[in-house]
Amino acid sequence: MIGVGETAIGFLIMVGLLFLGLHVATAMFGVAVLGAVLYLSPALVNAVGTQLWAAMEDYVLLSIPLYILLGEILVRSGSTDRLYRTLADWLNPLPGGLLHTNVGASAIFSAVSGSSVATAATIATVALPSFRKRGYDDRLVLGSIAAGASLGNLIPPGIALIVYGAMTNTSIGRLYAAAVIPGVIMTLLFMATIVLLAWARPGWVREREALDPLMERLKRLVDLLPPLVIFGIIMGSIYSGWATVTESAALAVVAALPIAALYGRLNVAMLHECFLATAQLTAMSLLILACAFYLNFVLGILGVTPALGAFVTDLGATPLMLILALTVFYLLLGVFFETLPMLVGTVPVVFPVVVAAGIDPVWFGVFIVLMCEISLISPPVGMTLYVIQAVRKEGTIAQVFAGTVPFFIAMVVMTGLLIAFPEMALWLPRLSFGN
Amino acid sequence: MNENPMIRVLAAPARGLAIIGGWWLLALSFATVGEILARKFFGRSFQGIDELGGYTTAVFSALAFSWALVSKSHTRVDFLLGHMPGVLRAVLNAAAYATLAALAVFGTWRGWHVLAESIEFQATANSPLGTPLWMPQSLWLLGLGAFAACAVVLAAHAVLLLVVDRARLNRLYGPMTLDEEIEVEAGAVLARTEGRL
Repeated sequence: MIGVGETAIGFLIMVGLLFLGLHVATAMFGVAVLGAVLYLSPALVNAVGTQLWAAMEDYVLLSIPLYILLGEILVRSGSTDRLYRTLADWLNPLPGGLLHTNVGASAIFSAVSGSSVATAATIATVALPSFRKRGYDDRLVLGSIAAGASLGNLIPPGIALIVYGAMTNTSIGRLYAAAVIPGVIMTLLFMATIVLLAWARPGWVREREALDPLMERLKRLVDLLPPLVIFGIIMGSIYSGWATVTESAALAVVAALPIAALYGRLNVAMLHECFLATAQLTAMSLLILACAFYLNFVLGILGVTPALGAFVTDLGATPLMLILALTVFYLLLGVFFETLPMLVGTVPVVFPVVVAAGIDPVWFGVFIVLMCEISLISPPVGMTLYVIQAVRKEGTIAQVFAGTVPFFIAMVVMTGLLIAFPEMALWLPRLSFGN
Repeated sequence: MNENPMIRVLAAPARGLAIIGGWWLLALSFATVGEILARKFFGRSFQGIDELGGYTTAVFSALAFSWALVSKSHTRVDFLLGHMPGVLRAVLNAAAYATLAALAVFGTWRGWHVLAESIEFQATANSPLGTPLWMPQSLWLLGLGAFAACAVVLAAHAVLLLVVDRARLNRLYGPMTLDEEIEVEAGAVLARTEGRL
């Protein structure tokens, strides 16, 4: 049994090891072993094998490689570029023009691909040349891509929600349902931000774009179908009760193959590339997760959960105070960490506290994923920002930072809304699943 | 071509394992669709797709560990590292690979015990399929073993470089550079769209 003080020291050691550049998995495993050896018996360290097998042999986690594979197939099918063009056809007339397309296309694309970094790189590659000729403010263009790319985790089927669900035994179906409305509101907030900026600073955007003839634009609407069909298959099969979350992912993978074939991109070499990319991202996530599960297991035996629960009760903090404190904590952490380390590194310690304070685990899942999204665009570490700058090959990274500021503010507003109106995350899961 | 000679040697087998895992993953997807359709339209289930799916997670990710290693995909936080003097960075880079190798070897050793017990007690899964556990566990252990082997080679190389050529160590074993990361995350898209925009 250890107390809150030891837990905090352990957490700090882990953060220290991470800063020293150890692999994330090693740092978590190291702290777990340290805890087991110092406070329990070395025999527990020998249980690692059983724990690794139990953590990795998991049907729910299979949805991670499946969704990644789905995204890889869709990316390589070329449906992204077409999606961008079609969205541009219809979003251009809004004040702020093509900037809305950046947000919309990034949101859809990062939802299906599951990777914000891939989205940022892809959309930046597709979008930047079309902006170069037009008179938009550079900073806003970059910021809108980064903001859109960060949305993917909140829009189902985000990987972060699966990871959170698996670590906390929270229903992933419920988490998906919970994330839908906040995801939509977040997207609308980003678009509202662009409209506001377009009004306040007309010089930063181009007023009007010439649109292609209506018939041509209507014809191109067909390119919206692939992502919509895939999204429909996933959500439809889950909420009609046809399929579990993992099964729906497998269904979507199989459905994506004819799409790639239709665009003339399906062949063995392409599939192998998809497999290799899937292997990289899956192995990266699963190694961290397996070590996180072992850390969770050790923390469980050490009695950290009741200790933290008692600590919170003694503190007499209200759930609201706790959530506000956690918001500050995550905003700070987000400056240095990316999504997965932040999520996996904090959930074992934070989740028991949150549950002890009577906060709904499903709501908290949406909250923590929102925090992860903020971390993606908060300088100086947000990977997406550097990727966009690298694709851009001109100007300075400071311009990218500046461009994200309005969207960062929109995200903080979103966090406030989510805290003030928790029902926006709780209503849909209740409607779909009851209590 | 990769600058790191060790990775040049290890990449091919690691790649092979990942591709085998990929085909398995795809096959399981088709089987799952069959299961969904059979359940929906014929009111019967193959039983055990979820069990096979669980094994697939373990085997696919274990087989992929070494590919992720040679492509530097296992995550590190490089925030402070980039600001440190070269010597310190070299020590930390070597330490990162040495500790990862220790983790991989230890995990494989303990994984071997899991498999050995399954064989000794002829353990089967408590499920309709009643799968003898040594079957999925052997493949899982194969993945872990390959990961450990690759990790040990890279760690040894990194430690050797710590003595002979620290600049090279930082180049080969530092966290992914931005260009490498972009290549991994969006290389396919970039290659495809080149010259078309």
